[in-house]
Amino acid sequence: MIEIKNIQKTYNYGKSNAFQALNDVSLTINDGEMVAIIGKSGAGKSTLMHILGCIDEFESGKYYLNGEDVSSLNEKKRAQIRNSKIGIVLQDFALVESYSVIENVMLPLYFSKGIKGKKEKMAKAIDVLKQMEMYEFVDKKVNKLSGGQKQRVAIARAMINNPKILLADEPTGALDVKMSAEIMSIFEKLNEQGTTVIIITHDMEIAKKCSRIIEISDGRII
Amino acid sequence: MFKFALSEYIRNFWFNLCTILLIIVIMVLSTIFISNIEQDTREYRLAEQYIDKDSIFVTWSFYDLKQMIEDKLGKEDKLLYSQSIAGGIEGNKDANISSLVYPQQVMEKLEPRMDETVNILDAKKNKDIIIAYISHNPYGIEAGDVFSYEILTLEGEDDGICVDVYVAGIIGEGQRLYSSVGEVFSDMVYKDFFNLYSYEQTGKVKMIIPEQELCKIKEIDRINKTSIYENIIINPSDNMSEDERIALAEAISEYEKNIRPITSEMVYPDARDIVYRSNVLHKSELYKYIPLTIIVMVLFIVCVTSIVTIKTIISSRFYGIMYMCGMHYTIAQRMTAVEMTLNSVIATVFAISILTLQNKLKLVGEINCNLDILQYGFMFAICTVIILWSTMTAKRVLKDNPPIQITKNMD
Repeated sequence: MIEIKNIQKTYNYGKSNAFQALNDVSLTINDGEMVAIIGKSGAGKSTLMHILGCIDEFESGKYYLNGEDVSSLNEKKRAQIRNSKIGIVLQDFALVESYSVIENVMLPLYFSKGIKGKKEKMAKAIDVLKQMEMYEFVDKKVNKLSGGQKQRVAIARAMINNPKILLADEPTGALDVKMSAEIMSIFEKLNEQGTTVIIITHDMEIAKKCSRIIEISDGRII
Repeated sequence: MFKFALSEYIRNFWFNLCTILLIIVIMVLSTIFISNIEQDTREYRLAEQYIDKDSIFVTWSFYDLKQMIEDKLGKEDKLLYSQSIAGGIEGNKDANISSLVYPQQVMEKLEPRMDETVNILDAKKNKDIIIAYISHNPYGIEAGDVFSYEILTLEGEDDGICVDVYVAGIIGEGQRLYSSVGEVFSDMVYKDFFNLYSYEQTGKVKMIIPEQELCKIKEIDRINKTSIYENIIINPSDNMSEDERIALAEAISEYEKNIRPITSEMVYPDARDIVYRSNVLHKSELYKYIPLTIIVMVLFIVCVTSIVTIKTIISSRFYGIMYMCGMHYTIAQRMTAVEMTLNSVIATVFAISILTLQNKLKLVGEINCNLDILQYGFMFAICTVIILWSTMTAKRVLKDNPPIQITKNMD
């Protein structure tokens, strides 16, 4: 379960060009939900996603992840959360273009304590790629793939350590309608399997596919 | 972490290649500068020890004069000279090997650079063999060889003294040896007590015998009496009065007049002038190389900073992705350290290879580029500076490009 209380996030805090991106934001997302966070450009959606994903910090408020106070954790613990508890998918896929599909998917495993040997890592990556129907591209360089294929690889990488939460920031932003539908069906399938899916989007059609819509405007939850 | 550092290293191949080339250039240049400063300083320090305002010097002379001088000097007075011996190979009338006997002080301060050396521990145990260093030669004598050296005493054709010589090293080409240039001139400085020797240019084979090795020969008195003594520098102590010093100088002058014509053009410069000119010259040598070295180092730091900054910015997307996958951001700094360590090691190997080839094959002529402890130490210092400075630069760049900023750029 994700619970955030009274989060304040200001960019350039203390400087003359300070900008308050989130103002007293509180929300709770239960396990297994599929939630869309919508809002106009600059509303604070990505800022909220970065905080939920332990990529960014905030100056006041509380963030509880499965009962644990994330705001008090050091960077090492936060890195562990990013590695194994939360999977992140971005609009531009965030893949290493010069690596192959399997090399990209294996990346989080190098920072995990569980699996040591390369063969085991590869086996796990292949398993996830099969689920994403990307096994046939396993040795292909990522820069040779289409947008939809790249996003599947990104999702595979995000899910490699079986995180309970998947955060997706505009996951269909760079895709056409058909590919967007394919990606959304993957999210739905993951959600059915128990993963909490949080999608940041400005697209209402995408948002309607989620069980709950949270609207954010000018840094506040509406 | 090492695996990613290696893959990043290959991905940033051109940057790393530029860095390697830069480091090689710096190492080669700094080795040349340091070698020149070091050589010059060693010569200067040796001369400074023996030449002051009261010094008397003789370019070359015979045993009688050397003996007369030694008889007149006390224990506190300093005397320096090298001893020149003619010789060849026993049984080979055409072989011609002249030797310079180096006093211990000269051997310690100005031991010539060797192209090859061998272990002398076993040879040292044998009291009947003398250890010496020979130049490149047409007689097939190499480091580690033992040959019978026939010292010519000039007493008669068959009166040579034969000694077994163990060749401990082959003298490198283009060495400045402590030997006389043969004449006096009015503007002498400390450099004029060293003669540039090259076997390739002169065709004359030379051997350097440390003084303590010559003392092993039983007939040493005969050898001494028939040797030429070069660069005789007398430095009287405070115990010698001015009158005694003048008397010594006059005695030397009288002796020389009797053995060779002293013309009015032959001017013996005042030792004070030699000291003054030597100081000026040595300082100008330092002023030539030290600022050059500093400028080169500054340019080097600027280039390394630029390369690391650009490379880190280009790699920042990669680091951002790794951060999202659970990497601690400080690992990005360590990856830079790993890459720079690899660059330093590769560059050092190439730099040493280039300098070694230059010393052996004279690819670009005679350049003083010794590889000794000082030069290796400087290379190590360059590597350390590169690794530390690059890591600090990467840290600064990563601080200005935090992962949140990178992730935002990916949204």
